[in-house]
Amino acid sequence: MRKVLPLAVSLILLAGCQQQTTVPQAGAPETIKVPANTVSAQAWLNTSSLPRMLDQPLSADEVAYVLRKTGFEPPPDEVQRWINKPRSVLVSHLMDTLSTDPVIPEPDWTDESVRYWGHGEWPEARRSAFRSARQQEVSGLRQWWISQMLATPSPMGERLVMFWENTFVAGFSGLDEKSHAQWYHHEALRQHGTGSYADLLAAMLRDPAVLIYLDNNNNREDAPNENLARELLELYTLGESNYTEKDIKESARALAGWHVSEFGDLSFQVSPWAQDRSRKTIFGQRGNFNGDDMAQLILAHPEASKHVSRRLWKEFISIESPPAEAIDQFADAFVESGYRIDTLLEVMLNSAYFWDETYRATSVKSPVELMIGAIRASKQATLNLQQIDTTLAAMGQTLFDPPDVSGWGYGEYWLDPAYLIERDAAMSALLAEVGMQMAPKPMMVSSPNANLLKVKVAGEAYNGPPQYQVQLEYGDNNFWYSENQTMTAARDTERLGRYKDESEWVWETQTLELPAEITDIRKVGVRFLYDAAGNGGDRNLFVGGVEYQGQSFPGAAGTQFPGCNRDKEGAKRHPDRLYCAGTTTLDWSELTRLASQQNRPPDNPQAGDLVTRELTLLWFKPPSEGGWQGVDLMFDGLSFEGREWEYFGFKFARNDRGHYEIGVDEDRCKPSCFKKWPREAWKDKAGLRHVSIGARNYEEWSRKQYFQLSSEDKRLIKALFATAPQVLEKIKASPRHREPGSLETWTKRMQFFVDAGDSGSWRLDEPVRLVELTSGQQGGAMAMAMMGGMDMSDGGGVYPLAGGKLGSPAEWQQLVKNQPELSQLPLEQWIVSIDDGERFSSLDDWLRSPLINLK
Amino acid sequence: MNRRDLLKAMAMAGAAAPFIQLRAAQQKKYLVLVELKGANDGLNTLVPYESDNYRKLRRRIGVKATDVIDLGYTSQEGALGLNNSMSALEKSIGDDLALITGVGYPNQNRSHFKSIALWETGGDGNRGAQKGWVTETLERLYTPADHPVLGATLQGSMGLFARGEGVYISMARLNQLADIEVDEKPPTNNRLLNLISKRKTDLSQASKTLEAELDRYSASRLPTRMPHGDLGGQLTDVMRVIGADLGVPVMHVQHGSFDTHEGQPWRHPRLLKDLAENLAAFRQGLQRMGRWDDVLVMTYSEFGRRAGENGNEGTDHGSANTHFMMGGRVNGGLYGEHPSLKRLVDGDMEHTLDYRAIYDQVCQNWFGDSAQPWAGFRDDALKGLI
Repeated sequence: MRKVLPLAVSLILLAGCQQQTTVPQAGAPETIKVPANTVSAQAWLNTSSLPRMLDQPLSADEVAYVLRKTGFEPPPDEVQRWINKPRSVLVSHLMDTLSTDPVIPEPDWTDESVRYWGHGEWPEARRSAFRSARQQEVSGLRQWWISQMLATPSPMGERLVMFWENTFVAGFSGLDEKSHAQWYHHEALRQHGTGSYADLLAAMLRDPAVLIYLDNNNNREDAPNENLARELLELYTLGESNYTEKDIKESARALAGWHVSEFGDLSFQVSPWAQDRSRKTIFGQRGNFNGDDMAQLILAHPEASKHVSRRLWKEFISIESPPAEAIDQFADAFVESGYRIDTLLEVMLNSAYFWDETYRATSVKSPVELMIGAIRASKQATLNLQQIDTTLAAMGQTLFDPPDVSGWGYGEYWLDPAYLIERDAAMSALLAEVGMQMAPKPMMVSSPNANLLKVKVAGEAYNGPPQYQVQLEYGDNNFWYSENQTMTAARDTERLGRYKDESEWVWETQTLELPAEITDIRKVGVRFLYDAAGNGGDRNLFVGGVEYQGQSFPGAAGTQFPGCNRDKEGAKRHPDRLYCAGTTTLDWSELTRLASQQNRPPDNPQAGDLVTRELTLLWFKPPSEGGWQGVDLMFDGLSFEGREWEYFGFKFARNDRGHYEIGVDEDRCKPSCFKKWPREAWKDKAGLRHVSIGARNYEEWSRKQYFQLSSEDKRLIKALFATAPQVLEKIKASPRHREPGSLETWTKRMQFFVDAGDSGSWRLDEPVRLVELTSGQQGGAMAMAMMGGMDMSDGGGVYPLAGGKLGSPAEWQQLVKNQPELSQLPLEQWIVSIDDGERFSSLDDWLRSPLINLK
Repeated sequence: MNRRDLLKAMAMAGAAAPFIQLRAAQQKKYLVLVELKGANDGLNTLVPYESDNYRKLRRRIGVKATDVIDLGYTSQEGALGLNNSMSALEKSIGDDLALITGVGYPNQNRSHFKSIALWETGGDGNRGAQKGWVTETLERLYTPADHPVLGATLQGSMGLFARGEGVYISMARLNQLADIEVDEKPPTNNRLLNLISKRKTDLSQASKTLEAELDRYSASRLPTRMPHGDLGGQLTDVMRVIGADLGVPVMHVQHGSFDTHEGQPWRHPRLLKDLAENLAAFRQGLQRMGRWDDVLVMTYSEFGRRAGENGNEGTDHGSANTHFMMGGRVNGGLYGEHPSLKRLVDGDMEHTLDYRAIYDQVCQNWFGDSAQPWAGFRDDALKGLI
């Protein structure tokens, strides 16, 4: 969260337009009650009649089965480690090591914040660059999660994270590019995914991604939206037919006002104006319930614990239906444990059901399980993270974006003909010889002072991947051209068709080491070579951004030449998208100059200044619409006389009686707009207060509102009047005058405020300066220079692999031979204990066998 | 007049009904679905050009009255005209081009991904669906012997064939399909393993057949040269499949992106022009091949666009939309009721016709599926369409 900082600290803002933040936690709801006496898994098992597993020595196939089913396909040496040990030892190991804590550090952007509001004045190029930056972040997050799953010592933990992602679905394509909402969602699932289900549920009901994805932002008392209520009961928690339509309607009312902040940082917020405070009846219970109460009501529902048990059965035991008594027992353990997810899992692993051979090979691995499992088990690191990401998408599983709120399916869902082909292709790609594939190129840095330039690209392949060349102009008329670079993870449009949405683009960052003599870079060009296209396919290159010496700029800040003949306009609108051979060029010296100007601190900051990141022009009403006419403004962070706000909104308005006034609304400030609200402030139905201060002595009530303010707040009002000249400039520069006369009318009106602010009534003794830290003109280049903060992390696609890597399939074969028990057992029995299949004599045979799909 | 036209003329004269039936039984039928990806702006496609409400909503991007082809249809918003960027289809107006307006579904979902998935599976905002809307009909009516492949997409996802039980492929992947290694393993007692094996065998066989046949019916044999560009390329392949009569009853092509949030005045007309020129050439080609009566072309899209323009000379995601249907057996005209532009709901036009009523027409009257899977959505507004 961008903290409200003292003025002195506010100047840290000058260091850039993004700040270090802490991640907003879903506030702890007050109403969650969990049974006081909770029971451990072992204690519950000791008193229950659940059929228990026999604690016998493990065979090789059992070990492989357990590790595969609870996590990912294990490598031979991992299997060897557990052979002949008692089953309970392996179960204890799995439970003791169960963890959803990341072992790979999170991307930097996850604890920085961006402003998701106030884009109305932005030119299209900047909006597009903003969207692209967010999409790139989530692309990076997909690769981060993949690396997580490859490296984790707790595969069961990652499977649980996946399980919850696929339960509390909030896919990126439904989040309006809010990458941070995606991260908070994922982080909450990690935080609560092994612990208390009550906490998890409560967190999900306050989760920005869930609220956005299921339209709860539009859910308000006067216009209820049932989307969240329905999916909450049907998919998230209870299952169909365990509630009535009335329950949904009433739940929607309870959830009304459970919103995501409109201003400030992206976070949960209760909107009092949208809440429904009257009585509801949900699951037969009556009360004035709100969103927090929903979690409690659901937990108390007898089907809730069964629903979780059924879903976990499907995930960790089989897609075959469970015996009813098994679910009853699991649900009982879950309730008795105080809704501990880890306890329920431990009970399941200790049950005879989990070890029952009839459930072997009755489920289909998801693409993630197939791919991550194959890599971990084969120890072959032939594919880089981007390629794995691309492969998963081809098999139907773009991480963070299930096709709909019901999530990815199970079993046959993954055996769709089109997916089947891609599953085979993925295994082949993994097996391809190192060198044949475009193997990850570990970056060779000769010295810590190496002269490095990073380029981030995405692309589409047709008859081969896109190639490009980096071109530099440096010093006075010196030029440098890189060798041709080839993308490793462009989407194969011939086989898969074009990307359907920009959010699917898989980004890769290439790091180039420049000759030491290159300094003073003036221009950076990325040239797309050898365009190609044919029926059903197209080769294209997209330039995400370039980073050099700690400074990065988006491709969208550049210009494209020559552009496609058929669409010259397109090259102007999206200079970063090279659909035809051509070059995207960043005017590096100019962008750097603008960016440094941007970060210039104000001269002699004073306590009486209004210091803000930006005074944002949110909206102004077209004059032809008549009635109340206002200019809606919002300070993005405000510091004044030692007081601090995360955001502060106000309006310059002309009311329907023709009176000019400044308006301040209670829900537009955080924290409170005023130290003390005037008694005469108008209160709306929701109890929110509104203050209107006339620019002249129009009316008694308006004067009273002003005189009832504290002296600090009076000075604040005067300071707001003093912003009128700058607001006038903003109005003049706005591209949003949609009708003739709008500019003139608003210029005249704002001039009235300028004059009023300069009059004796409103002028402060010391002149007030409005200091905007990141604003200035809204010109294209300037705006683009402000983008900053691109995610340019580059692992070169290299990742750590739990259990280590091997150089080739032959080495794997040797590894198997070295395991005495494994080399003596028919290997197919290790894979899956069914029938009498052929023997697997090589890694190749194994990964290409249809058996690899099953678990 | 070629043979098909002759037959058609005879049929119209009431003389050749038996021939028509005979031919229908022999020649295979094709449904060509044209996805207008990104969501076409129906309001600037079929334009209520006299409506004051329209002018108010579309101050900057409205299509001028001089830029439409009057269709002679009126609505509650006055006369309707076709955006004259589509003038290539002028010949079809009143003949084999149907415009279906006010099309939508309850509780509009405004996500591209989600809404197109609803259209492809027959769901709506209240209830999703899982299986491609036409797959059940195809699987009921066709045998693998005559129709080794039930559906093919020339671009885009397999969403239209989601959960299909038959053989559905992506045509751009033909080469890839031919290399599939067929598992010769005997049946096991594992259901999933058997399913994998069967599907791979199906895919491999089907693709081999198609590839060989298609090689014989090359693009140079087509009587029409399609316009250059992506859509033209896709429709060329569709024509080859029809020419070789490979019996792929559903083919899916894609055109776009129609997601005109900005710059609509110059982007949208070009997209419409491209669409119209392609469809006109496609029609001409199939007529020359004598196969136009065996083809039904239908457009679909995620949703319509918002009635009011936005601040970027564009339009945002909306609801009700207008769609096209073309083919030798389509009775041209206007179907459905144009939504009111005065009574908007949250700035959106309210749909007057559930899109699944069109699916009902297609399944019942085009494919002749007696099971009538979409009969629950039947709407008299579409009577006589096919």
